[in-house]
Amino acid sequence: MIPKGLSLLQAPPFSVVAVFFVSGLAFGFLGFSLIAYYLIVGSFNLPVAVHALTLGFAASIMLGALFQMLPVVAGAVIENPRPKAYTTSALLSLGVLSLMLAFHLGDRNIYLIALCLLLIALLPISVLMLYKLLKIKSYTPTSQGMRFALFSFILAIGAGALHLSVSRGLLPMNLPINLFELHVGLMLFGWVGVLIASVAFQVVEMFFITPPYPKYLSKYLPPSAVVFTLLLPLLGDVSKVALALLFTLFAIATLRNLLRRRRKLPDPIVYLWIEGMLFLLLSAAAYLVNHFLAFLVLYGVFALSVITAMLYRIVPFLVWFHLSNQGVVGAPTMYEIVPVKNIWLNFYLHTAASVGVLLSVLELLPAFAVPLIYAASTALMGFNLGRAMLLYRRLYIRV
Amino acid sequence: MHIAQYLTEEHRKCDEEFAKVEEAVAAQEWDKAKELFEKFRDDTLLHFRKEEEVLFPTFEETTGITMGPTQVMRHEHAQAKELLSRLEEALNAKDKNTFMSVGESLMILIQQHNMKEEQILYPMSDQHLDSESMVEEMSKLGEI
Ligand SMILES: [Fe+2]
Ligand SMILES: [Fe+2]
Repeated sequence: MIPKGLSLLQAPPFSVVAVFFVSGLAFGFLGFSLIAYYLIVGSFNLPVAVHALTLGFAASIMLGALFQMLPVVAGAVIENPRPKAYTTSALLSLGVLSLMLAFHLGDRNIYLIALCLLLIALLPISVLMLYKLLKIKSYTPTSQGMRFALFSFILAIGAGALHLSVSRGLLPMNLPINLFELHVGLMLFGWVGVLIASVAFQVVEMFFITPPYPKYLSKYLPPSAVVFTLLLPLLGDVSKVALALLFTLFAIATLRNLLRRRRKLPDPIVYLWIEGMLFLLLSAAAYLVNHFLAFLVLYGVFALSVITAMLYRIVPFLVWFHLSNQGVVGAPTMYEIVPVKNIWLNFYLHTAASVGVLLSVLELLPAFAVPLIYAASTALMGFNLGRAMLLYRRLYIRV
Repeated sequence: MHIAQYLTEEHRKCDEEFAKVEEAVAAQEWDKAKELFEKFRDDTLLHFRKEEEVLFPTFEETTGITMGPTQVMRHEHAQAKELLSRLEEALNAKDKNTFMSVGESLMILIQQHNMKEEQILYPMSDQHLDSESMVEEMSKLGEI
């Protein structure tokens, strides 16, 4: 038996990951700008803004990260990743744009187009990824968690598509259960939450030299989170309390590990993780008291903080790694690719916006300022990481 | 003792040593940093030797897998060595920024490398090789 995932050739080309990150960041900027605009003009279309950020930004970046992590971390190889990544990314971008337009105009035909594009973009690739993960024999908490995350993602897409089709009159039928609740729950907890947790089980220990997560958490959080989300329509508050508890435990375990890290030097990436966990705790509280909008925003800050931290670690590392593998002598390293002062600046901007979220709740800050700062923070991230990608292209030796 | 336990402990020790080097460099305590770095470098290289001279050849011989994981591990050792020599240059030049930058790349490289060894290669070695005698062979090269 030759263990997979150990061959260099199995790490996908940098462009595979890059397309998802670039389009993701563009949607992030678009989404935050749109929210700022809505708040300024005083009319808010929540589904338009939310899907720019959840699908256009988060899902795109998470799919890109999975293309990288599946072979390297889990040992599940996706053959010929380039065309798969490019088509997925292109269809996803078109799909998100059409979905935003459809929510904006409420037009039946555009809903249909958006649904088709998104289903074609997302279902084949996530089913393929899940299949590859299910095929590997030896698995870790991380690859196990990724299975549950992808399983949730597939169900959540289905639930969302069905809910939309019925509620917009595309399908003439009645639904016995509340698919909207399932769609939101599976996307946020099952997909985003479980994927972030599963990745954390591996990378927090690696990046910051911390003690490992408790076994009970890394083993049981992913399945429990998915099961309790699926039971939401049935158990109601019991499920809610269980979910809040699970993610609270995860946040506390992560904070505890980070505070015990061996690498104690000030590091914006560590602080982003800590910030993310604090907002996860706040969002769990908002969820428990049934404040949906507050929960959504706070949970979003959690995900955004962690995604920002991950991008600033992964992109510069991959630039060095791929250049070094191509035999570029003295290939630039982390902070030569993205200067650490730029990462600090981004950390401050991001944190200013996150504190702004809390201030605007207390009405100490006009709400529109918050998405504006996030838009600036996303633009800075796009600038820093875009420059890293251009540097890669410049130094890349064409073989 | 298992191969996995023996070599994983060495990974942990090297991690801790590197964290100390980083702290000394950040504080610009160059003499201390150099001393700590040399310990870290020598221990890391010794660990690589144990793998390259004892574990990998036996693994390849016993399992017949020669072009797989061990080749990738050797390649990553070579990448790590290049970064180690760049770290040494940065230390000699008392160049804190370059040290931190190269150090971060080295840390991620080593961490993902160690993860693959600990999760796949070492357990496979324990499964296919005589753990006790392998550990004995490796400790003959020295202890960290
Ligand atoms: Fe090694
Ligand atoms: Fe090793």
